[in-house]
Amino acid sequence: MRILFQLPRTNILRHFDSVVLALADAGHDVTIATPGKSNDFPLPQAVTSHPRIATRICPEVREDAWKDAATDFRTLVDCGHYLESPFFEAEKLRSRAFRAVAQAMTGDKTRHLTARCPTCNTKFVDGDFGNLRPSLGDAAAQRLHNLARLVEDAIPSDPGREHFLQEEAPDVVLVSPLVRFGSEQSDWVKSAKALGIPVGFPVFSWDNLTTKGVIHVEPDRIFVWNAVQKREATEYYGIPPEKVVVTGAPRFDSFMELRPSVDRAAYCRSLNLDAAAPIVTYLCSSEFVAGHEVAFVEQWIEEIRTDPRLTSCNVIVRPHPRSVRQWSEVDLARHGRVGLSLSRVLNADQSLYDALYHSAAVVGLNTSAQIEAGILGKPVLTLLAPGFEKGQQGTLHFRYLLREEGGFVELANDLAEHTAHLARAVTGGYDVDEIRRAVERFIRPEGWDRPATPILANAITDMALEKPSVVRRWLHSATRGGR
Amino acid sequence: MAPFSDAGWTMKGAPMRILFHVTLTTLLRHFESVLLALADRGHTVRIATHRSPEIPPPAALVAHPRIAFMTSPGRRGDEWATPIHELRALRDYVRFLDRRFKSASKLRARALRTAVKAVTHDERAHLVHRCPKCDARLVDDEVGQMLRGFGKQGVKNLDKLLALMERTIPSATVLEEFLKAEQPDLLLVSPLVNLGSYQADFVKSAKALHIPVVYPVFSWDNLSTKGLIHVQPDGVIVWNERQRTEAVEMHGVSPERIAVTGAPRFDEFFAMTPETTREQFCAIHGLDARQPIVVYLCSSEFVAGGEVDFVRRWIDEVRREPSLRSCNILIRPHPRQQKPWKGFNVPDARVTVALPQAMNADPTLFDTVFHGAAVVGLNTSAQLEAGILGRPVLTILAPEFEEGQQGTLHFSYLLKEHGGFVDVAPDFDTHRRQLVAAVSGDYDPRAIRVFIEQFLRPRGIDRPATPFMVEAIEEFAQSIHREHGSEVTETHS
Repeated sequence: MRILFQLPRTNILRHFDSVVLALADAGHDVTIATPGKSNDFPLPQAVTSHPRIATRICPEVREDAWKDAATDFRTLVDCGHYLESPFFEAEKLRSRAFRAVAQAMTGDKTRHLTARCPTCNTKFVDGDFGNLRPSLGDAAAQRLHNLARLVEDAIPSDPGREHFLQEEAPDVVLVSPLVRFGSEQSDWVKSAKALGIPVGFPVFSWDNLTTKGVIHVEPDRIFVWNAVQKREATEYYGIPPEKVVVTGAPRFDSFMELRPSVDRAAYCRSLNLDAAAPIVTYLCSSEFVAGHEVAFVEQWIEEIRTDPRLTSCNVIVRPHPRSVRQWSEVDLARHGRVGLSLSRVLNADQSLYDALYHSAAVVGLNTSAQIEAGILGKPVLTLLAPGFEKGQQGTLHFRYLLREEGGFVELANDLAEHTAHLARAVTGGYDVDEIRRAVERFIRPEGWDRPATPILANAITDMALEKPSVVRRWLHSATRGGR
Repeated sequence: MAPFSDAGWTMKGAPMRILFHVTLTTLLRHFESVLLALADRGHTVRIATHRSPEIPPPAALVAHPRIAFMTSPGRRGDEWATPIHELRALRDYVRFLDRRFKSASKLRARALRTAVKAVTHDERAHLVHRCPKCDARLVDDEVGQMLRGFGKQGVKNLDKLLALMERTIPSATVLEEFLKAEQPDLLLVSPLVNLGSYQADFVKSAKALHIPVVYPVFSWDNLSTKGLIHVQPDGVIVWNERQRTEAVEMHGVSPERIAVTGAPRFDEFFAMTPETTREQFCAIHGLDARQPIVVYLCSSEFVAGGEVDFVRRWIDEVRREPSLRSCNILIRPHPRQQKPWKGFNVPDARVTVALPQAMNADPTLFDTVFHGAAVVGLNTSAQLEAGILGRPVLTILAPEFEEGQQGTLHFSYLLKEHGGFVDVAPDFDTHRRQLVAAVSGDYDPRAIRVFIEQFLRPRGIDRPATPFMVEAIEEFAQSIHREHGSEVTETHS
C-alpha cells in the first residue's frame, strides 16, 4: 500500500514516527510530504534510513484564485468557532482566533482588531468582541455555519495538489495537524476527496480539537486518542461517529518504553540536589498558556518551602521545551536545592523521564508533560494561579486531566490548599492505580499494555481497504489494460 | 405618457426580445419612456417581477401591444437561496468600511442592519455589545467598526475574498430555466444594487447562458448609497460622468462597459409646461399672488425622518428676516411621506402644504417649482427638478439630519462647492441671507443650467436622454452578441 503523509512541518512527525515506521515495517511504502521550506526539524534516523520511507517536497500554497483567500476564509470561520458554546468562555483562545483573523486579512503580523467605546473610549481588542455572538442568537449562528459550509463546498479542489496526488498515486492520504488557523491542509483533504483517495486525520495532540481551528473539510477518518476526543469531534465538528476511530496516543509509546538513565544518587548529584530529600518537579507550560512563568515559579518555590513538610524538599524546574530562553538568566541556586532541567526535546525525552522518575510529586499549570508524569504513576498537582486563568480555566482541555473530571491531576484553588496537597503527595498520599486508570483511559483506551502505534497503523490500512483509492484502482486497471 | 419621438434615430440591429427584470413595478417610472421607445421601435418588451404589482403598472406600458407583464421566480431555488442574501449583505456592509464612506455613518449603519436582519431573519435584531468598562450599549455599526481594525489593506482583502466567494457560487438552475423559457435577446435589470441583492442572480444566470445583460442605473444616488454590483453585467448605463466614475471606482465596472446617456426619467418633466397661471396656482393654494413663493421640498424618511418639527423651526427662522416675513411658503412633502403632513397647521396664513400626486413627472411639482422664486430642501431628488426649471435651490445643514446630509455621498454632488448648483448654509443666518438673495433674483441661472446639463443630460440639455438610453441598449445587445458569436433573431415563437 502507498501511504502519503502530508505535514506542514517535519517536526509534526514526532508524534507519529512510530506509526510511520510500523507501516513501513509492515511492507507499506510511506511518503512524507512537506513543503520544502518548512523542514524545520531533522527526521529521526530510523525514518530517513528506512528503505520504504521516502520524503518529498509538496506544494505549500494554492496557485489559483483561492491562493490566499481560502486561508483567509477559513481563518474567519475558525474565529466564528470561538463565538460558540462551549468556547464562549475560552477568552484566550478567542482572542488568539480574532488576532489570527486580523493577521490573515492584513498580512501584518502585528495587527489586532481594535475599536473604542464611543462613550468611555475604552479600547476593545481582539477577543473583547466575543460577546457579540449572543446578540445574534442560535438561529443566526446556524445560518452563518450553513453559509460557511456552502462557501467551503464551493471552493474548488486545488489543481496543484491534485497534480501532486496524481503523481504520487497513494492508496491513502494522511494529514496532521489539519486544524491550524486558516488550515491550508484542508486543501489536501479536499483534493484527496476529489480524486477519490481515502484521507485520514490522526489528531496531533490532546488539546488540538479544542484550542485550534475547525475541521473545514471532513476527512474519511479521524483517528483520536480517546473517548473525550471522539466526543469533541462529533459534538464540536459534526463528524459522524462512525468516521471517528479511537486509537490511543502513539506519541507516548516510546516514552513508555524508556527506563531511567541514571540512579537517584547520580541524578541528584548532577543537579546539586539532596538525595535524601524528596524531589518535586515543576513542569512549566507553553508560552501561550502561561506566558512568562519565571516569577510565578519563584514565588511558588518560596511558598511551598514555608510549609515545614516541604522546607527541605528538592525542586526541579523544567522549562517548557519551547520556552527555554526565558530561563537562561534565572538564578535558581539562591533558593537552595533547586535544579534546572533544560531540554529542547519535544517527545520521548530521556531527561524528562529521569526527572519524573526520581520525583515524588509533579506540579504544573497546564501542560502535556503532566501526562508523562501520570504515565510514571506520579501524583500530579496544579493550582489556579492568579494571572494564568486564561491559560487554565480559559481552555477546555485543562479540565480533562483534573480528578474532578475523571482525570488524575489534583486541583487546588490557591497556594495554601496546593501546599497541603503537595505535602500529602510527597509523603505517598495518593492512589497510583487511580492515576494509571485515568492515564489509560486518556492515552491507551484499548489497554495499558496495548501500545497505540499498531492500533493506529492498522486503522490507517483498514481505512484504505474499506475505501480503495479511485486513482489507484484506475492506475491498476490501466496498467492491466496496457499489458 | 406621450410617446417619445424617435425621429432621426436608426435602430441598431434586428428587433429584439427584451426582458426587463425589476424588483417592483413602481420602479418602472424611471424607465417608462425608454420601454415605450423600445417597443415603438419594434422590440418586444417583457417586464418581469417576482410578485404581484404593488401599484398598477403605467397605463401606457400596459396598453402597448409589444409590452407584456409577467411573473418571474423571486430568487434561486437551491441551497444558496437564502445564504446568498446573507453573503451579499455582508459584502455590502464591508463596502461601507472603505475610507471614502468614512463619514457615511447612516449608510454604513443601514447596510449593517440589513446584514444582521439577513442573518437573523429578525427585523428587530441588532448587533449589540456592552462596554466592559462603562456598560454602554454599542449597537450595529458601533460594533461593526471593529472591522476597521483591518485597515485599508485588510478591508480590501476582505472584499476580495467575498468577491471570490461570489464568483464561486454557481448560477441558479431555476433562473436559468426561466431565462431559457423566455429566450430573451437581452436582459435588463434594475435597480440591482439593493442591499443583499437577489437580482444579482439574474445577472449571473444570464451570463451563464450568454444572454447579454445590461443594468440601467435607477437613480442618481444608487451607486453610492446602496449595495455593490455583485455580479458584473455586460453593460451599465449611467446618467453622467460622476456615475461613470462611481461605477468604475466603487463597483469595479470596466470603463468600456459603461454608457453615459443622461437620465430619461426627467425627459417628461423637461417637456412639461405649467398647467396653471400664477394667479390660479396661488388661488388653489390660498397664497398671496403678489408675494414670492418659497418652496420647501421635503426629503425621504431615510434622509430626514420626522422632518415636520424641523420645517416648523425653519419657517420661524425664515420669518425672522423682515424681507421674508410676507413671502409665501409652500411645503411639498416627500411622495412617500405624506401622512405626517395631514393636518399640519401653523399660525401663518401664507404657509401651505401641497401634497404630491406622483413619484415622477408630477405636474403639481412642475407648477409648484415653476411658480416658486426659490426652493429649499435638505437632500432630495426633487432639487433636480427645481434645477431643471432654473430655480435657485438652497439647503441648510441641519444637525439632526447630519447623517442624511453629510452622511451620504450624493448630498455633496449637488452642492455649489462641489461643482453643483445648490447653495449650502451652515446656519440659519447664512441661509436667510442666501434665501433673500435668491428670492430677489440674485443668482446665476446659467450656472444652474450648466450643472443640470452635466448631471441629467450630458449630451446636451436640449437632447432628451431616452433615445440615448435606447441606443445604448441596442448597441450593448449587438456588441455583446458579437462577442458571444451569437446573433439576434427577429422571430420568436
